Parts: sequence; structure tokens; C-alpha cells
Amino acid sequence: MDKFDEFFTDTPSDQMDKAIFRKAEKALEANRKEYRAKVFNSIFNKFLVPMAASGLAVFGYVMVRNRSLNPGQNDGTHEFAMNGDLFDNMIENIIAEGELPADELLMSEADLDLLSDYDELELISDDDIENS
Amino acid sequence: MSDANLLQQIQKGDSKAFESLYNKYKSAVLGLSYRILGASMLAEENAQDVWMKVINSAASFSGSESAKAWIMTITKNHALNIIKKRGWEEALPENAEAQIPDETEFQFGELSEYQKIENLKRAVGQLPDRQRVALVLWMNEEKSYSEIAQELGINVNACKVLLFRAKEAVKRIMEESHG
Repeated sequence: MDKFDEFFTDTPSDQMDKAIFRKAEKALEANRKEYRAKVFNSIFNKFLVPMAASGLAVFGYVMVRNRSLNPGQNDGTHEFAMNGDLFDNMIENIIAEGELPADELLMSEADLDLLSDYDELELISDDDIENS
Repeated sequence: MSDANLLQQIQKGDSKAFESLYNKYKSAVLGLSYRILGASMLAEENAQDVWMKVINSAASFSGSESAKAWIMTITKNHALNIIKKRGWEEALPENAEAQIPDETEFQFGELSEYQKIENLKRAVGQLPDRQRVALVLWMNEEKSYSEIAQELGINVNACKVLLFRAKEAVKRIMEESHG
């Protein structure tokens, strides 16, 4: 070390070294936390998009596959179809339990008369009847 | 491991990397702190703050300059901020232009003829703030008068006077200490 360097250097005491290391450790710990968070975020960001994309792809595939296997159930009438199933089951159960005779499920004469009244009410047009 | 790598590791919180870098430049940081601030507790506080700043700002080290130069710049700037916050201990030379001496050249060699560097350090430490800072910046960074004047926020002529007085004062103190 030349005299110039010597002029611009002073060796810290052990006490000062220790004080600096104590302070430094806290600051380094903060750096460690920040670094860990940065690594976690970068991993999360790296895998989040592919994961979300694969999730959507699988979901889409299942939906399309389900629709092709069960036409009519998942094309916007899903709820109706389900209600229809429930209704059928309910009727079958009622018949099975004998609460309602099967014959009564057929239309009575009165019901048929009531249906004929629809003509008078013009709810069904002549064209509809002819086309039916 | 290079200094740049050590700083990268410090950024990740590596204690060993900090220890290596600290041991390498601790004397230079404390030395410059003492030369700028004088032999006071402020110099030690400055050195401590500088190392904390190195840890906290390791990410901002671009690598365009050497790590040592980067650390020494932090040291110098932080020390100057301390003086500016505290306020300069002396007033600027009055009527500076009238006092500019003909001979303003001063070589470090003139000082280096003194064998006892510690005496020189003590002599510089006894100078008033502005004289000491002007002399240290001139010696340490080989800055021009205008650059030093800019750092101190004074005009070039005032800077020349400060430097002349600083050199004269150091010589006088050194001569007195040599009997």
C-alpha cells in the first residue's frame, strides 16, 4: 500500500465491525425475504398462465364431450331436462305407490272437451290445425 | 468471486458475500469517511450507513463502474450530505478574488515527504469543514477546481482560496508536530 492509499484508509475497530455486522444481518434478512418473494412470484407467474390455460382446455373438452354424449341435456336446456326427469320419476313413484291409478293419468272426456274449447278461444289457428 | 458477483449475492441476502466485500473495502470506506468528516463519531456513523446502503442498494449496482468506485461514491456523497445537513462550520472566504494566491499548485508529493501518515491524517482532520472537504476531494479524486467548487456549491475562486488555505494549514500543522 502506497502512502496515498494509506492516507485514505483507516481500519475499523473490532467493536465497529461487530456493530456493522449486527446491523447488516437485519438488512440482509430483509433482502433474503424480498428475494424469496421475488422467486415465488416469478415461479407463480411462470406457471399460473399455463395452468389456467390447461384448466380451461380440460373444462372445455369435458363440456364438449359431455354435450356430444348427452345431446339435449347440456345445450341450454339442461335445467328443463333435469326437471323432466324428476317429473317422470315422481309420476312413476306415485303410480308405484298406488296413490294414483294409472287410468286416471289418461285424459277424461271432460279434458277432451276442454281442449276443443281452445278452438273457440282462437288460441290455435286454423292453419295450425291443418298443418298438424 | 468478483465484486459484482458479491453484490449480486448480497442482493439475495448472502451474509458470507457481505463479509467478503466488507473486509475488502472496510478500511477504504472508513478512511474516506474520516478524511471528509474529520476524526469524529460522524465518520464511523457514516461508514455504518454506507454499508447498510450497499446492502439495500445492491440491486442498483449497474456494473458500469467498479464496485469499489461505486462504494466510494456512496461514501463520499453520504459524508457530504451529513456535512450539508449539519451546516458548514466555517463561512466562505470573504472577497475571495482578492485573496487568490499566485501559487495554487500543490502536489500530494509535498505531503508524502512526511513519513508519518498518521500525522498527516490528524492535520487534515483539524482543518475546518470546507478546507478539509476541498482538499480531500482534490487529493482523492483528482478533481478540477470547478468540479470541487460544484460539489461544495461555491464559485471556482472561493474553491482555489479554500484549497490554498488548506494546504498552508496542513503544512503548518505538520511542521509544528515535527517540532
